[in-house]
Amino acid sequence: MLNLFRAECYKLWKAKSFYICCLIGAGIALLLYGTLFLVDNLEKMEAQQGQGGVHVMATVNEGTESPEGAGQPEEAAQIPMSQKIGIMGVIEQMMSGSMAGFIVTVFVSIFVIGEYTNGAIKNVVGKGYSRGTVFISKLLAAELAALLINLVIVGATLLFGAILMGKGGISAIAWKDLTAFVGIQLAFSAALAAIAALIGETTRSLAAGISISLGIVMFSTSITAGLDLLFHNLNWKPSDYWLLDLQTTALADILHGDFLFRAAIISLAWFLAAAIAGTLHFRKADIK
Amino acid sequence: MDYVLKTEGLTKQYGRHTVVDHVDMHVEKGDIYGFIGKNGAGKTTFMRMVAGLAAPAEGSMELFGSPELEKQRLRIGSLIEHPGLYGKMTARENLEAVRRSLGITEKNAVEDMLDFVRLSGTGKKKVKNFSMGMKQRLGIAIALFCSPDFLILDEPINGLDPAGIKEIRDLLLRLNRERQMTILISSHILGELSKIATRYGIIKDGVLIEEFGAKELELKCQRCQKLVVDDVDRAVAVLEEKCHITNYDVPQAGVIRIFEGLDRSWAVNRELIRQDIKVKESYLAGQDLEGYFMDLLGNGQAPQGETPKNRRRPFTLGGKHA
Repeated sequence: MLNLFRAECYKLWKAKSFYICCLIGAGIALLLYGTLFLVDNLEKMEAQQGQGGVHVMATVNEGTESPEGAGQPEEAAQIPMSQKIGIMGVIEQMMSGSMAGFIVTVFVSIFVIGEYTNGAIKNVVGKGYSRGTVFISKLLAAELAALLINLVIVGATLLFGAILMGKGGISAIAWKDLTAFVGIQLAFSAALAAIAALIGETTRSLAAGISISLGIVMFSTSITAGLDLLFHNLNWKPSDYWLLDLQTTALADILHGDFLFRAAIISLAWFLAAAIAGTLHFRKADIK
Repeated sequence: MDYVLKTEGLTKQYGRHTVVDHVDMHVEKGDIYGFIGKNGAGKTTFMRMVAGLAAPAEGSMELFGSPELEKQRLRIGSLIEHPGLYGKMTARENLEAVRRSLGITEKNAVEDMLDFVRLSGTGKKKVKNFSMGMKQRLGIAIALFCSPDFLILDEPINGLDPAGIKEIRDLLLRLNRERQMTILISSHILGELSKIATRYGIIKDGVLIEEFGAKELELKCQRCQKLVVDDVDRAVAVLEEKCHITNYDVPQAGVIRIFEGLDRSWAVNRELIRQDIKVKESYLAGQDLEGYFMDLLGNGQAPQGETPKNRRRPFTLGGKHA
C-alpha cells in the first residue's frame, strides 16, 4: 500500500496537469482581484462623472452637515468594492463558488482516468496487490492533490490580496473564521474528489469522466433545489445532505459548531460512500 | 510435469458471447509458448485472465503449480496489448514509477533495466516521442522489472521493423536461455514465432484446438511422399526390400509417409504397382509453418501434413480415385 502510494505521489509530482491546475487556480484568484479593482475604478469614474454619485459627492463635501445616522449608508457607499469584499470574500468566492471544485474535479478526472487511457494501470494490477489497495492508493493520491490545489488557491489568494490590498486587507481577515472555513471546504473538496475518482473509475473515459463530474459540480444544486420542492410536503430537504449545497451555504461569517459538525459528517459520509463504491467496482471490473 | 501455467476449462464471457471457451492450456517450465490465433480468437482475453486483469467466468488456473494466484502473480511479468506508459515522462521516469510501486529498493535497478533493453541513451526524451520499437522495449522492461519467472507477451513485435523484430527476438531468447524464463507469447508473425517457440497452442473462436511441441510441428510440416494404399503391410515390405527405404511412418491406417528419396518418388509408385499394390493416392506433401497454421485456423482441425494449396495433384494408379 505504502509502495503504491509512494509511486502515485511520484506520478503526481511528475504530472504537468497538476501544476497547470494549481496555476489556473492562482490565475483565477488574480482575475477575481482584477475584477474587483475594475469595479472600484468604474464606481470611481461614475462618481466623478456624477452618475448616481451626486448625493455621495455632496455628502463628502458637506461632511458633518449630514444628519446623524443618515450618513452611515453614504459612508458605506464610499468604501470600494475590493475592500467591501476583502481577501476573505475572494477566498469564499474561490471555494464556495465552486471554482476550486471545478479545478479539483478536472484534475482528479485526468489523474484517475489517465491510468486507463495510457494502460499504465496494468503495470500495478496483478503485482501482488489487491485491487482494493490499488484503488485506495490512487484515491489517496488524488486527495493529496485536491488538498494541495486548494491550499495553493488559498495561499495565492492571500498572497495576491496582501500585495494588492496591503496591510489593511490582511488585518481585515478574521483568521479564526478563515481557518474554520478553509477546513470545512477542504472536507467538502475531499468528498468531491472521491466522487470524481469514482466517476473516473467507472467511466474510464476522459471525456465522459470530466463531463459527468463537471455536470455534477455545475447542475447538481439545481437538481437538489427541485428535489427540495418535490419533498416539501414531507418536510425533508435533500439539499441539506448534498456536498455542493453545503459548500455554497458555508460562508465564513455564518459557520458555527453545529453546522461544521454536520457538514464534516456529511462530507465524510460522501467520501466513504464514493471510496467504497469505487473499490467495489474496481475489484470486479476487467482492465483493458 | 513442472507446469508454470495450467488452466482447466478457463472460460470468459461478455454477455452471451463466449470469448474464451473452456481452454486447457499447459505451459511447461522453460517453454517459449507460441500462442496463435486470428484477431478476436481470444488470445488477449486469455492472457488478461492469466495476468489477473480480467476475471474468468468459469474454470480454474494454477500458476507455478499453485492455485494461490494473487501471490504467484508476483512472479509474472506481462505486456498485454500495448505497453502502459506515461507519454509525458521519460523512460527513466516511467521505470522509476514502476520501481516505487513494486517496492524495489535498489536505485540502480532503473539504470540496469534501461541498459538491459538498450534504452539508457534516451535521456530526457519523452516516451511520446519514442519509436514503436523503443516503446515496446520499454514495455518489456516494465514487464521484466519484477524479475519474473514467467513472461506474458501479447503481440510484442507488432508494428516493428525487421531490425526491431530481431532485437526483441534476441532479447527473448536471451531471457529464456540466461534467466530460464518461461515465456507465453502471441504473435501474428508466425514465421518469426517459429524461430523462437518451443511449444505452440492454437486458439480458434475461443477454443484451444491444439497444443504441440516444436519438434512435433516440424514433423507435421516435413516434406514427404504421401501414399494411400490398400495394403499397408505389403507396401511397407516393398518399400524396405525393393526400394531400400527406411525413413517412413504410418500416421494412420492406409497412409504411408516417406521422408527420403523424394526425387525418385516415381520409382516407388512403379515398384508398388508392380507388386500389385493398389496405390489410391501418391503425392508430395509438406508445407511451411504458416501454411500449416493457416490450415488449422481455417478448418479448425489438424491436417494430415498437407494443405490444399501445397498439395500436388494426386498421382493415382491402379485403384480407386480418392
